[in-house]
Amino acid sequence: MKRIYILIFTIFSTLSIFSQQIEAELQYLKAVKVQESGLIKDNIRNAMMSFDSILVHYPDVAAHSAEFIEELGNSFYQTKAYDKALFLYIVEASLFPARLPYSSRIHQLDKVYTLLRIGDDDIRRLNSISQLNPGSLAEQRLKAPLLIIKYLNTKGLDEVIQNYIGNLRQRGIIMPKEVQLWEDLVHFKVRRKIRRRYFTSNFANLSPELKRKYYRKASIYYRKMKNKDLARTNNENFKALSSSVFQLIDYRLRSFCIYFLKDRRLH
Amino acid sequence: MRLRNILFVLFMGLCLSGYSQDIDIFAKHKDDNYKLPMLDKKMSFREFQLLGRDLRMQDMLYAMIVPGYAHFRAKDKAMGYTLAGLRIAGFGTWYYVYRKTGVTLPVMLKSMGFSHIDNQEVYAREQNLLAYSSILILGTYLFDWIHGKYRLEKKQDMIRYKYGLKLRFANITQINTQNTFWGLGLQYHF
Repeated sequence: MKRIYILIFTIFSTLSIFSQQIEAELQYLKAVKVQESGLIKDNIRNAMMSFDSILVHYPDVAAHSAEFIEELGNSFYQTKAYDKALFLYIVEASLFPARLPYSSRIHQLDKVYTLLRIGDDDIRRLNSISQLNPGSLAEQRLKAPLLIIKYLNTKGLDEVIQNYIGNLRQRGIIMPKEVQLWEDLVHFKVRRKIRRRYFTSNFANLSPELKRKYYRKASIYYRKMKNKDLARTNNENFKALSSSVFQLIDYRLRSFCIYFLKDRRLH
Repeated sequence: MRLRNILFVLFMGLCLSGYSQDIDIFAKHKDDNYKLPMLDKKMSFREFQLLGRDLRMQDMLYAMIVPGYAHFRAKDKAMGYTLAGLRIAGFGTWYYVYRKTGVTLPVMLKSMGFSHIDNQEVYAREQNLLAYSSILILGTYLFDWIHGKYRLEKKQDMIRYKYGLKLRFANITQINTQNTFWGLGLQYHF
């Protein structure tokens, strides 16, 4: 019985401190939003740390969590980081669908859509985010990054999404194939404009051109990481899809480099 | 007379110990570096460094040697490198003038240009260059010092404001680490 009391006390005090911190961060965000932008920019790192802790604790979130995420989105909006603002608005709508309709921020969203050049189809998709069936907890949490990865792929969000995915992994959520593929594309430094095309269908059904680009970038990446086996495998896959003389020369040059590569695992 | 001299020396000594900065006599304890500060757990190392920094007289001397030093101290690298570039350009112009005229720098500075040369009009362009580059060197130094100090103080104010206000919002109980015994206190704010 004594242990149960101690456990209840510990849980209560942890949640209470967590809630207090989020509330303090929220109040600070509100206090600085009408002041100079330097204060807002300076605080973003701290606010993102609180955002991370909300993600890790979700669904046992503290009071004011939804409001905090919205205010953080507004902070990004005020500092002209429109892509990050949009991501935060999407996260808030997906995690707390009952709180505030996503499309109610008409003025902010109109400006964000115009500046980020988001098409009508994507706008429709985003506006219906709160109405979609939330599904399981994991699906609910993955909704925001999947929307960005599959359809928007806006500039400057790679780091934020990687951080977001890292937090979900910390909670033991298994990432779907799309997220894993996106992480590979980011690591292999595939251009952002092309990335979106990889999510139109399954990887096996993609065009040979896209697959070839993927294998080429993967081979270069693993060569730099001094992973000889993976560099060679990806280079061979690249060769299997190569058709022109230039591509074969490219393959030969890289296989020459891989042949003399010192595998880091041998050291 | 002798007593007056002794009193004067003592007075100067008092002034030095009281108002001098760290290029002179400055109180420093052996275990100063062992004192660990109470930090906010969200404070970054950059913020910690900025809060601990101050621009004193010795830094003023360093800023003469290292261009953009005050801005580097204030973690404003872009401005620091710009000032460094401008100052190097100034020194480069001095060197160019020396190569062109053959007049050494001490002579130039002593005569404020080429006043000691008879046919000054031949070197009119070099004289202008010398004046502009000297203004550039002096200007970058003064700007570095004044603006750098302003930037550092502003950044420190922002950090203090941020963590101070958050502490107030969080309503966290204050712990006095200087106390040598355990105890509970009651505070009433009005």
